[in-house]
Formats: sequence, structure tokens, C-alpha cells
Amino acid sequence: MNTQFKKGILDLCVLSILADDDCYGYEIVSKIVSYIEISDGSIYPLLRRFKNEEYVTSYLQESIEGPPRKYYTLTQKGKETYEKLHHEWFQFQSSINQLIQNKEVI
Amino acid sequence: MNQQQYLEKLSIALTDIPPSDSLEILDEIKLHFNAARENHRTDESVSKALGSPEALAESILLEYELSHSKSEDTVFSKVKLYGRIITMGFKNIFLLPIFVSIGALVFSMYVTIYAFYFAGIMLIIAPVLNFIAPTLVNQGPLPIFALPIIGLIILYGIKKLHQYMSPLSHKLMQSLGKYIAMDYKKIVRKN
Repeated sequence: MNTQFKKGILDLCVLSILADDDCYGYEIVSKIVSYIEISDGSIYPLLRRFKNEEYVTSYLQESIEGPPRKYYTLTQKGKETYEKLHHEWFQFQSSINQLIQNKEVI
Repeated sequence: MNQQQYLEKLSIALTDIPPSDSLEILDEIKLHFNAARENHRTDESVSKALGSPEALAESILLEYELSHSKSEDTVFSKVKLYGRIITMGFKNIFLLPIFVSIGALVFSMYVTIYAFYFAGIMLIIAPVLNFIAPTLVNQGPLPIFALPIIGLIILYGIKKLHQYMSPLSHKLMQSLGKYIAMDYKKIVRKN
């Protein structure tokens, strides 16, 4: 998948994953990687940025399997940003689809 | 590489950010490795999937710089800021001479201000200097003790000018930056 698309869309993907449910870092990485090819490492700087921009907060939760896990959850600002990006993506997607559907693929 | 090696390399690559921040990141990556191991993945495959520790550190450093440059107000950060504005100005050839001239003007004003600071200080220590090395001091028709007083007046005046200049020049550079940014959609950030 084109690198430029990936960078822009990653925010939307992570926000969308967190919109469903609070997740810990590894969980987010696993879910995203099943859909698009990215380096696992790119998620953590993104999560830091989300924290700085107050889209998410984190909390620790005890886990039966080992050390406590760091869960991420959307803030109100994060939810609003998600909705905005979600809307923008659909508009963008439908415009592009319209454009390419009108042409014949050689 | 295994978890230990990865974390060591990452830690080294993160020396430029405060320890509290780098510890936070290292902890998080440690948790990542742990969770991966619970899912029966090898450290080797996890390291590969994460990408090189240097690359990861690079994006963390970039993120750190972006989030902290807003509050920084040191001389060096201003120099970096001016440098970036002038560099971005290079992209737009029509405006290049204007930006360089303005940059040079602001720079020379600062040089002048610091020269006056120096002169003021020298005047203040003139009596002592006169005692140690009389040939260096030329008091002219003035009594030696007038020199420090003049020095103090100069320092006071130049400090006022500096205080006045600083927000002005900052605003000037900011509006220049925004002007460039209108073309390039990013205000003084790395692309």
C-alpha cells in the first residue's frame, strides 16, 4: 500500500480500533497489522502523539498472565477527532471511487 | 536481536530526550515484547517487526521535538527557528533576497546589542583594568570613575532595547514563517 496513504490513514485506523474498545499497545498493533502492512514500531510514536494531543489517555490494568498492561482509551476530544476523520475518509473515498469508476481500466 | 539488545540500542538512541520520557517508551516496548512472548512469538521476529531501534527512536525524537518546540524559548531554539525559516525561504526564489536581508538585519541588530553589552561591561571594569594595565584604558578627559557609571547607563539602555526587540523580532520571524507556510502548508516544521 502506498506510503503516503498509510501515514495519513494510520490515525484513523488507531482511533477506530480504540473507538470499539480500550486496548493495550500490542493489541492495537496486532489488529492493525492484520489489515495493513506497517512496522509495528510506528504505532508507539503515534500513541505518544495521541497522548500529547489529548486524544487518548492510558491506565494500567492487572493481567492474569503477567505484569499489568497499559490500556489506551479515547477521550472526548479523541472521539470527536475520530468522527471527523471517519467522515472525511468516506467523502474522500467516494470521490475517488466516482472518479475511477468513470474510466475504463486498460 | 533479542529483547535485551533491542532495548539497549533503543535506550542509547534515546539519550537526547529526558530520562522520564525515554523510560516510559522503554517500558512500553518491554510490555510489547512480553505480550508477544505470551503469543509464542520469538524476540527475533518481534525485533524485525518493530523495525530498527534507531528508526523507532528517530520517530520518537521527532514527535518529542514537535510537541515541545512550542514551549521552548532558549536562544538556541530561536536560532533553529530562524534557520528553518530561512531554509524554507530558499525554496521560494522570488522571496529569497528579502528573507536573507531581513534575517541578516535581525542578526546584525542582535550583534550590535551584544556588542553594546560588551562595551558596557568593559566600561564598568575599566577602573580595575586601569589599575592592572593602564595602557588598555583610554579615559580621555573623563575621571576614571565616570566610566563605570556610563557603562551602567549603557547596559540599562541596551537591556531595555533588547527586551523591546525580542518580542518584535520574534513576531517578525513568525509572520515571515506564516507567509512561507501559506505556500507550503506547514509552519516551521520538518517535512
